[in-house]
Amino acid sequence: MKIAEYIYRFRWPIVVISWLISIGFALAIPKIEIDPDVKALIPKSMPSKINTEKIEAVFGGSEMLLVIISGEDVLAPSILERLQNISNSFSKLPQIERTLSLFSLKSIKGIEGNMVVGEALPFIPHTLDETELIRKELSDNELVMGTVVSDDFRLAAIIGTVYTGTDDKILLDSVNAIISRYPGEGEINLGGMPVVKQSITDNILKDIKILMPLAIFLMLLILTLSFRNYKGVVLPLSVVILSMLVSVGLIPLFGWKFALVTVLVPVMMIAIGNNYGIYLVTRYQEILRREPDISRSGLMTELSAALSRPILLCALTTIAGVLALLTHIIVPAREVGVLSAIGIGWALILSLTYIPAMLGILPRSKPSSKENKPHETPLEHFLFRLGVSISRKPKITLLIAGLITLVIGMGLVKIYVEGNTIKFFDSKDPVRTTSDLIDKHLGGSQTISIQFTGDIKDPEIMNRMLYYEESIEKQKGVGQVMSIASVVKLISKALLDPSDPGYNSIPRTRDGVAQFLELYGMSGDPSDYEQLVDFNYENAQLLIRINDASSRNVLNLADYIRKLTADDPAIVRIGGIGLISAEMTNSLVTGQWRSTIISMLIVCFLAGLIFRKKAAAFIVAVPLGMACLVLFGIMGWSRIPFDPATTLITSVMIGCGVDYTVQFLWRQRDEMMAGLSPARAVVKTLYTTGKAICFNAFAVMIGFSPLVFSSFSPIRFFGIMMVVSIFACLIGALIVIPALTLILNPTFLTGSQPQISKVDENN
Amino acid sequence: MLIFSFALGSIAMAQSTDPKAIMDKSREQVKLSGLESKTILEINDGKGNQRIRETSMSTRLYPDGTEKRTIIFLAPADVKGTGILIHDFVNKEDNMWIYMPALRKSRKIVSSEKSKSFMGSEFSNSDLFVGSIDDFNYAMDGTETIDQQLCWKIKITPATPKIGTEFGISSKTMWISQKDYVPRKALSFDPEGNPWKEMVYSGIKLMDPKAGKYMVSKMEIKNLKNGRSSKMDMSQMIFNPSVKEEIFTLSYIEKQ
Repeated sequence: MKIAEYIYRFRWPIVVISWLISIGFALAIPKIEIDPDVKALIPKSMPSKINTEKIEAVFGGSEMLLVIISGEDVLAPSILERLQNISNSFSKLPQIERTLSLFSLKSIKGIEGNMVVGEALPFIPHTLDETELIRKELSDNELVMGTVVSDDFRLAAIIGTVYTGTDDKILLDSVNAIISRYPGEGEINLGGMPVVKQSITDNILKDIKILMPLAIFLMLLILTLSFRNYKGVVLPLSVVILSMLVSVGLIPLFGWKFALVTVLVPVMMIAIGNNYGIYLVTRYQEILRREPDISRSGLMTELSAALSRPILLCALTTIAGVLALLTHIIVPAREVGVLSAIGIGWALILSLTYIPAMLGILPRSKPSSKENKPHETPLEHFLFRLGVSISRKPKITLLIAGLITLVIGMGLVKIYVEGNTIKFFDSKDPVRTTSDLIDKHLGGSQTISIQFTGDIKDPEIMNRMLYYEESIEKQKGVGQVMSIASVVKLISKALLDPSDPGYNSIPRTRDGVAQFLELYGMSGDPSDYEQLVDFNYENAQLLIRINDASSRNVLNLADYIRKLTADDPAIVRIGGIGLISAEMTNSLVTGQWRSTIISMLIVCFLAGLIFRKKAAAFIVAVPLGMACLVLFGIMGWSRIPFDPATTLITSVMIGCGVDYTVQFLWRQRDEMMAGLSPARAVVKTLYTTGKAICFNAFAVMIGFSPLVFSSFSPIRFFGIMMVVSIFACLIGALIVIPALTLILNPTFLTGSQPQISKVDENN
Repeated sequence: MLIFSFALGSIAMAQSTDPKAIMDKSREQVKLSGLESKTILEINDGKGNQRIRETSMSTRLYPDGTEKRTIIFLAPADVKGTGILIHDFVNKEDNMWIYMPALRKSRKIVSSEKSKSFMGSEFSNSDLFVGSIDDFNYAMDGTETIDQQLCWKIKITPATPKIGTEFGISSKTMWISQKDYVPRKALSFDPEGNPWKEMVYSGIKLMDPKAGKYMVSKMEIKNLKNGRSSKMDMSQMIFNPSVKEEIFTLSYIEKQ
């Protein structure tokens, strides 16, 4: 008994089991957790991640939450009183490890031979004279200026270091409740990584709520317009939904979390998962039109015989393409690869079993009254004319396509990388505008940390720390650098007169350093500087705040720091969220090239295997390579960066695009085997399979198009570039492949010696 | 104002259950006129790390209420010889000088931060001293036995929010022995009313039998919020009402 007959016989169990399995996976969906942390993007084995965790284990969390108040003059009593109330409550939050603000920082200075230690803001000024006195005091206090107060006194900040593992939502809700409790003058904004992460979480949820229904609606629309028949809508769509349930349900089952790029998985299912169903329903209608009286089992046998193999091949090449994402360094990219491969696999199984079973259950459609005339629609007519033109001048066609690709591809040199999560938000998004304020006026919201281990009281280590601090401070994009060495230097400045030896410098002896540190310990809270040095003075941290967190700048800075500190035996590691972003940026580039090359190799290998000739691998590689070049070129010209989402495009594109070339070559080979000349075979393939390829490509493009409404620029760029790249693949399959095969006349299409012929328009 | 010695009088007068009166009586007997001792301060970070500071201390109480203290570091070696001189006045800000052997000179330190920690420990003025009697309100909260001593449990709250802010607490509960009026335990609450620091007093010694004054030689404080703790252990205590005046001068700490 043939498989088709089994499917017909067990059609009900197949349908029921298909739904039950899919629903079984779907039951896990409510357990999905969202992970917006940039640290989750890179593998645990990445040095910057390991180092950051080790540094945080010694010095506490490095994530900062900033409450920023802005006004004409933040020294206005009403603003300061409000800030004080908020600061008092904020510092008591259990999620906050330590707080820096005008009300917690100190003033250490030398006055007439005395070392004066006091509060940075000893009182809230109420008169003009008091205000100006305080302004002068603060302006001279390097511990507060540019850190918790902007130079123009229009911004003041409360900076909280957040305990590792804090629930961002609970923390932000608590902070917002505090702010609401103290209404008043001054506009308040929140900034820092907890805000960024929570916004990512909120926007992921928003994207899911908007993009999924929109993609399904568009798919519903295109299926309705294409088929004007409920079977053509219901069957492919149900495959999409069932495969989406499985791929999304697998996220918690694998113990994974929903990251920013994971939103691509359900959209990919919608865009790609319906392909095979569309082929089947189209062929089902064709068979019925041709043989209206065919029996049900006969219909299914023919359907199975005609499409099982091409569908299988298409799906396998797509799966192979997306599985190449497993070689990507970005962790969620690998997860997207696995989830989409399984989802596509499930869609394939459903298309080969569930759809035929459903066709066996549903009442038979009435055959269309339209006859299957060649090139009767404008599209068919266009494709016919295109085929004729290509077959007449294949070399010129290929040359023009090559030149256009080359010109567009030149944009590749302008392409850049962006791993800074802040840049994923629109320029007018509050997350971005607040971050810009912090970067411009308050030292920056991202950090790089250098950990020193050894005898921290050793003046040599102290002086090196100070040298690095002063050198790094001069670099572009560095907002503020802090270390215990600068605290010791500050004490010397306050303790000694300018004429004294050792003024404004590190003491010459270890005992001198120890005594300065002891003095600082007596003057303040024990936790004042535990972020800079550990309890036993065995580890110290040089904390660099970055005010230009663009990937390019952070990478340059990281390189500079590595070179600067290369030979220092006391430096054990460099980490920090800034460095993680920078390393992720590097990973994006590596991951992009690696996954592209591996996708290409796999699909070309598969194409070679399908047609049993190496030439097939080459012919498949050419249009895909050109499509990649076009994609990178357009990204370069239009300043769309490589980011965590756009670096996934090539693998998905190659996975989808290879279908078109394989389908085209398959049909072309069939036609040539049937006796048509290469030129005639090209023309016929174009207006038959070419049309199906067009529908397929348009469906995929429309499937991905809702992504342009995402809240994140990487996802929007992914949507735009996916449409562009699928279009490039379509052109590659419909123009480059015919021209190339006509020029090369590969034997795998004929199984014999090359034939040369011309085509006439009346074919 | 005495920070390191916490002596209270064993009062022969009839016991009163008025909490303010109890605290007032304790306060009146709190200061020893002169004391010399060695102190070991142990600071624990709650993660298994420890710092030990060994000092010699001398204090003298003057008739106008001024108290002068000299602290000389004996260990660790890198801070040995560091000297601190404090003139603690009743109605004006303290004077504090520090001598650092590495600099070979003394510097006056002006700090208004009274509620901050002492020498990087969990102890602060607000833990060691409850302020003047009128700065707080007192309420009797029953009796409890602590360290086999029947104690009054007295709840102390700042009289004004400003005082609360200055001392960094919302309230404090003290357990005062009914036998010798010496505290056995104190629990302070943070501004939100959460238990914050717990202090246990032990090693209580009668220093001045004539005047009936005691001395608390061991104090241990635990920060219930961050797990840090500190211990202060005083030894070689000598009650000496006439500690030499020259000990409380800059030239003395510079010579050590």
